[in-house]
Amino acid sequence: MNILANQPAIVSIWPRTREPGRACHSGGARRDFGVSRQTNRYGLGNSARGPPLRVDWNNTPMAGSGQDRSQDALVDATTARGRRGLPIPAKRSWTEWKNRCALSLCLQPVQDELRNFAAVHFALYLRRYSFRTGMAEGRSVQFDGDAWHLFETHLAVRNTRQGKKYKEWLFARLPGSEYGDLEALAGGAALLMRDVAREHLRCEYAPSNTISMGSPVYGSGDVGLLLGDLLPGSIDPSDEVARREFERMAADQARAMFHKMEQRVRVVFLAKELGISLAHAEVEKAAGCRKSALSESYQAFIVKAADEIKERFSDEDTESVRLLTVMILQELKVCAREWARTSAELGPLLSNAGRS
Amino acid sequence: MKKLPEVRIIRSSAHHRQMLADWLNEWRIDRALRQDEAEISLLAKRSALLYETGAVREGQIRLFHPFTDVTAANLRYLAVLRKGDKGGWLTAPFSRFDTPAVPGELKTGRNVHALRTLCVWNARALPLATLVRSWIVDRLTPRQVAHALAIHAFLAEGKVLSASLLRRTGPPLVHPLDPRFEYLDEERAWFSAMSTIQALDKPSDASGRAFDGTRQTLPLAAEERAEYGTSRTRPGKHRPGDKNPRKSK
Repeated sequence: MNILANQPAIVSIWPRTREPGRACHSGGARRDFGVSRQTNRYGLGNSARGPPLRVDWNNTPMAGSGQDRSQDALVDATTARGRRGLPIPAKRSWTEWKNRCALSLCLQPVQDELRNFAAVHFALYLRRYSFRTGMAEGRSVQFDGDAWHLFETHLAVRNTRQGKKYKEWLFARLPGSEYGDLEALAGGAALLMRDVAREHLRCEYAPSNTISMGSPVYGSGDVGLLLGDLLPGSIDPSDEVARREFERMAADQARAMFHKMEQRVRVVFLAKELGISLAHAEVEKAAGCRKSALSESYQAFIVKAADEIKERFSDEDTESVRLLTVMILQELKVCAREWARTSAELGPLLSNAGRS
Repeated sequence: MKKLPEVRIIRSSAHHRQMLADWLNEWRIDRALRQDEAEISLLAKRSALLYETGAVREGQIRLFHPFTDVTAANLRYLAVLRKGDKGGWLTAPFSRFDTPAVPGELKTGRNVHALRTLCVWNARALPLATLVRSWIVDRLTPRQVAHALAIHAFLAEGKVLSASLLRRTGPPLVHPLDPRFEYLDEERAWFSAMSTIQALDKPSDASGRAFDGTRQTLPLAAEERAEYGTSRTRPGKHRPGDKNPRKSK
């Protein structure tokens, strides 16, 4: 089943649920999805590539809210034939495009085939983004434009043959068998399309210009870090006495914490201080556990330590406590290095660091 | 009761806050679009292909050939900064992100997305055998090379950076659970692997044309080969009695 029987110049995902888009960070002018229907920021009108056609997601196996099924399951559902049910352009189409430099110089069937391919993959990446970032249906990601145009414009480093070596890269991946070549071209182009989608999303969903220090940090999970935790500020350099007093307090607190610390967490601090990977055999041997367990213990310790510091200095202002927390955590690495110097069993770890 | 001394905390700059927020947003998008690269690319990497590489020169921007898992799954660009010791070249990879993540990353000022941020912190010497497995795509200006080297000196030797250049680098990295550490680990891992990778193919001449693994460049099993310990390809051509026998290298 070809999910794109017609060639889409417009791909809408979760149609008719529009959300004003943010301004492109580097692009200058603002663009609202809901307003700019005639010309998008790439200068392509809806009719630039022929009459606008829509992908009818409601009649494809990928239809659904996307909230109750994983993206992979949705894509799996399209597995009718070919590459997981997605279109695979013929090798000669790719070759023609490579030889003629631009898709607009290719024959119409080739243009249609490659545009289809780009539109489907671009739409899938946007949808993956919507799903994985937990965007509600009302905040769907949409794109009214020619995905192939983005493909050719984002990937070229210069507007010369030399600046389009990504084409060489794409063809250098061919294993040499008929089916393998097709798969490699489609797979490689899909990977390139991901870069294009990433750049498009970056432009359209840039953070606002007023950043709060209380903004949550994506990816910090259960730790719940705030932006202010990552950028704690610094002590006024003119206040030397206070700075030294802060450092002394941080060192005292760190020593007390290190004294109560588990061996495996001590080893992590040491490895971080020495710049050795937690997956290193000597690190795992010294800690007595694998990298994943080490990472978990380390994270749990830091969360607990930060909570303790916050509680102990609950009367202080937030900025000072954030700074003290970071200073203590830095000081713990120094403690780990001192500990390693006096520990015979950590000799191999130290000598390894010396070699690297 | 207050226990900390009264101090004046200088808050991080709005510029750094904005940069970090932008970078975290890019990281979020990157994570969301991540997938099983081995599955989609089918590991279509090749170890020996015919390609023109051109002589390595300072300032070149190159695109790695897809000969490792990482370079087969992503377009990986790097800049050649200067000639190093032992025949290698000091090189730095470009970030896939638009915004510098850390103070060791430089906003180049270029318009092209893939070349906007240079990871000077990850600079290392690459052997020629690895570098030739890349295509030349563009050049850094001498000024851009100088900026990159100034940041390298700042990181390696603690030399002072100008305020204007400092403003084009990323925000400080201090918190141990900062997600940027994960990014740095990933980047360090693939690029350090490039510096130690064993050459599978070598340039055949000064033009930089590499072996392609085809009939024209690799001898067949039945062809005459050099004797062990010699560089000759036709054993027996120079007899022991010759006046100027070719010496083994």
